[in-house]
Order: sequence, then structure tokens, then C-alpha cells
Amino acid sequence: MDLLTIRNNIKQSLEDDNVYRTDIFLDNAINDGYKLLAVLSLFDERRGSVDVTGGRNFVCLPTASDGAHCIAPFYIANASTGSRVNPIQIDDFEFYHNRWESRTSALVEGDDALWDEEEDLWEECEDQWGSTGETMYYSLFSPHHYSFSAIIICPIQNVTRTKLNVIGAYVPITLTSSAEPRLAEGYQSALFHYGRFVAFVAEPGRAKDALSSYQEFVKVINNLVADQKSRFPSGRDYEPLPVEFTYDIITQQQQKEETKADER
Amino acid sequence: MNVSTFLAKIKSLVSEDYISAPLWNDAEFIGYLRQTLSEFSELTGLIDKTLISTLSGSSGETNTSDDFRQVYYVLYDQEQQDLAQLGDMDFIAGDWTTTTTGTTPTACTLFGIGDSMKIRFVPIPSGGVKYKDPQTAAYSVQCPGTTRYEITIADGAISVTPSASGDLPSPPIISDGESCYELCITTAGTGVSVSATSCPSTGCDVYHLTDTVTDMLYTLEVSSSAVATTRAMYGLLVQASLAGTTQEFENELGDNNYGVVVDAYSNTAGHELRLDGSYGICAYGLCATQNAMVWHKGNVCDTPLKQSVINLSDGFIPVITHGVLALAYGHENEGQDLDKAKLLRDIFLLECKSIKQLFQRK
Repeated sequence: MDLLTIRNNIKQSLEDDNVYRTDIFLDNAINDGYKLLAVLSLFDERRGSVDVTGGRNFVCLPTASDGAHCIAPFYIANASTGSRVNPIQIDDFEFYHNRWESRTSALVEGDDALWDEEEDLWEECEDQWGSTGETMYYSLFSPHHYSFSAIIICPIQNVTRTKLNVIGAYVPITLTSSAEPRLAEGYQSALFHYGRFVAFVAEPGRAKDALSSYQEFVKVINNLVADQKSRFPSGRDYEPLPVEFTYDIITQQQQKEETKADER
Repeated sequence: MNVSTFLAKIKSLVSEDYISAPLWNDAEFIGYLRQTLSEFSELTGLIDKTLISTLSGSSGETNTSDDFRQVYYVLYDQEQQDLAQLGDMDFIAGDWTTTTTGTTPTACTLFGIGDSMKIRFVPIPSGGVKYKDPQTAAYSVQCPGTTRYEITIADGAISVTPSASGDLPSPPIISDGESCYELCITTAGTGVSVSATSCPSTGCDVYHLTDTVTDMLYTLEVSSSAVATTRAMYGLLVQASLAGTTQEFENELGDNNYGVVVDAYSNTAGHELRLDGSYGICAYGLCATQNAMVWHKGNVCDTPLKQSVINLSDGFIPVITHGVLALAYGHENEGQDLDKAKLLRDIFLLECKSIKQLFQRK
């Protein structure tokens, strides 16, 4: 379904509830729901790569060709060797080396071809890095905005090996009327429910209807999350979790009636 | 998204209720927004920041930045420091509360909370460059003879004024990276200026002064030609993305991917890009020698004005919308709706909790 169809579906359902909203209002609501769904379920999975130059620890997350930004990596690999870059917490970098900053990958012992007999030590050979090189690790830094977010990698790339392949979750760009969401049809009902939720929030005295719509939105999120996780049973670097929302709303009128009943 | 766009979005949600005079003004919504952003930062723990700083040579402490929330990782001279509780500091050094110095700190502890927090390193480093506690007043220097002068920074320029008599002060000794220089006063005609004289001492320090006019922090430096100068400590930006395109910065040698940016302009006529504060990541973030690097939780950049930018990805804006609406509907006026306020508040808290779990924030 494209945005126009989703909008019209919401419009018709709201009219049944005597609620009327402009097209612009509903389009904004649908797009908000679309992007919020992307954050809570990580459904917009894409492949990208980042160039790493200058031998640095901090690397930006990729941006897609349509302008969408990656917010959470699922799988990062060294483009040269295909070896995975493993996720860890920042304070675990110490287990690699107590001075991990700016440290480049060293050789792995056991490679006889790299043993320098004259010097009696393992000779650093950057050309060999990656084939028998050390495992790389990363930690995600400040993912709240693409200009500030980064992955901190250790050890840092050899400057001649300049690319990391990143499979990650993106926040999609704003939908236009004819655009279709990057979401399976079966889950596009989430946008329908979120649009209704926003419409009821903007309507006087419809908090209970807003709650019902949001609960339906959460149900679809949880089904989508379960579907996402089932595709990758071995787990991913960052993965969505079920959204738990339990809420009970008692209107002021009901509270007054209950108080009166208690007094009697 | 900037604040004015966000306000338009919020007003389209609340103005549907009432078509007469608005029940909430822009200042109120901006206040709700700032509060919600601060809460979002606290509840999600998404905003990571690093602070590279020198330590006080006398106390072994370093200050923290304005939006300092919670320290979670500390380096000194590129080595991890144990972040110990106050009661466990005895196991680091029994006499840690004294000003005993050592070659390199091995641990640190925290005093205070938020942006008044101090980080105390144990032992106090004895080697390397460390700063004197920042002075807002002046450094005293004696002119050959008996006249004493105060060095201050006024609107970016070194200012020299006669000072009251007192004990003979020790002049600041500053390094240009290779040699040490002692600041002194020279007079030429009726003018008085600061100059730098080579000295054999190796006891160099970093001297900070706060500008008496702009409040900006400066360091006193000596150039390679032994001229006393100052350097303003702006934010450092090494990478910026404009409309999805990474911008390249070149230095005078034509190298790419690093630089210091305090202002940026587009070549398009009438199109001006300004960076109004520290922005972006420091891609070359590296704990400098004999410096501390403190990793901490911080706040989303504050949004006091309509033209301020809300530095959050689009996917988080709906969460902020729910939080702002919850505060608005809870406000006591004709627009108050406590049911909506409670519902939206619970939704905001739920979404923040989900985001925190998803990104594995502690």
C-alpha cells in the first residue's frame, strides 16, 4: 500500500468515529509512526559500507543513497577478508590491549613466514594484516543522531584496508503520497493504528480511543519483532525486544462515579 | 529538525482542540521540549560524550562539562583507570586523600553529581604537563625593576595592567613544544607588553585564563618565535555531513579529513551555514599524553531558541512529541486533559525504556 491508500483508510475509519483530519495531518502522523516503528522494531535492514582512512578508531555509521541513516548495526565485517568485527562494551577493549587507542593490528604468532630470525622477534608486516590478522572489535557510540554516532573499532584498520561492510537498521526517509513503506504489507497496519492514535490524541476527550489505537500499534510491533528475530535465530549485534505496554485508563467521570458509589 | 518546525507540528496536534486563542504559547512549549529532551537523555542513556582534559597539578582533579551526567569509562595517558567507589579508594592507596604524587595515576573516584562533579585521580601525576587551576583573575609578572603587572585576557587579547605590590610572584613558564619560556614584561616607550624569554627550567605548565569580556577559556602559549600568544579553546570538529554528503576539510598541506571548524559557509549565494557549537564526532578522538579522557553520559544539545536544532534522529522525534504533549496536557489551563497527560506520559516512558534496552545502555 502506498501512503495515499494508508491515509484514505485512516480517514474513512476516523469518519466512522466522527473524527475529521486534514491530509497533511494524517500524512505527518503516518510518517511519524513509520519512523518510530523503524526505531522500535529495527525493520529497515540495509547493507552499506564505510570508508576508513587515516588510521582512526572512530568511524561513522553509513548513510544510504536515499539519505536514510543507519542507527544500529546488525553485522559488521572487514571488507577485505570478510572477517566479522565483533561487538563489545567499551570497557572490554582493555582485554585486547591496555593501550588500545590508535593501536594497529599486530601479527598473530605462529605464522613462520613472518618470524624475523635475525631480530628474533615477530616482524610487523602490514601486508599480512587481515589474512591472519587479529579479530577486530567495535562498540557503538552515541547513537542518538547520525552526526554524533560512531562505531569505535579496535584494533584500527591498516590504512590500505579502508572499508567496513555494515548491515544495519536504518531510519527510513519521509514517505510521499505515491511512496510505499519499506515494510511488509502484513505489518503496514501499524501505520494505520498509529495514524488513528495521533488523530484521537488531537481530539477532545478521546484519550480512551487513543489508548486502544496505541495498544493495537504495539501488538503489530511485537509481531514484527518476533518475525525479525525468528529470521536470525543466532542473534545479531543489536536486536529489537518486545514492547511491553500495560495501561489502564480511568476517565474522570468514571472516577467520580466510583467515588459516589463508595460514599453510598 | 529545528525547534520552530517542531513547534508547528505540536501546535497542529493541540490546536485541533481549540480554534480560538492558543492555550499554550511558544515559550511554554519550548520549556516542555527542553525538559523532555533532558529526560530522554537520562532515561535512554543514548548520548555518549568524551572529554579530554588536563589535571590540576595540585589536587589531581579534573572538572567536568556542563551536561555531565554519569561517568562510565576513564583513560589517563591512554590507559584505563579503575573507577573506584569512595570506600574502596583505600585499596588503591591508603594515603590517597593527601597530595602525594606519583608517576602515573592508576585509579580515580568521583565527588559530587552532574556538572559539579569532580574526578579525582590517584596518585596525582608528577610528570608531564598539567594545568594550574584556572584563574579568572590574572597571572602576576614582574617587570625588570620593581613594577608588577597582571596578565589577563580581554576580548581575545592579552592585557597587561599594573598590579598592587606583594610577594615576588613566580612567572608562568610555558613550553612551545620543545623549549621552555618564562613570561616577563618589557617596556618600550610608553607601552608595556608581555614577552617570552628562554629559560633552562623544564617545569612547564599549562596556564588557562578566562576572558574577562567573553568568558571564553584561553590558554597562554608561546610560539616558535618566542612570542607570547593565546589560543582559544573552541570545539573541535573533524567531520560534517551536509544534506547526506560528507564534507571534506583540508589543511594547508591539502590533507583531508581533519581540521578545526568554527564557522562554515556555502559558496551558494545567500546560503550560509553556521555551526553554533561543538557538533559532530571527533573522529580522531585520542587521549593525549598526560591527559585524561573521560567517557560520560550527556544531554542532547539544549534548544533554548526557535532556530535551535533538535539533535535527534527522526525516529526519536515521535517519542519527544509524546513527552511534550504529556507536559502540555498536564498543565493547568483550559486545555488540561489529565487522561491524555497520563496516557502520553506512560507512552513516553515505555518508549524510552524500549530504546534503552534495544541499544543495551546501562
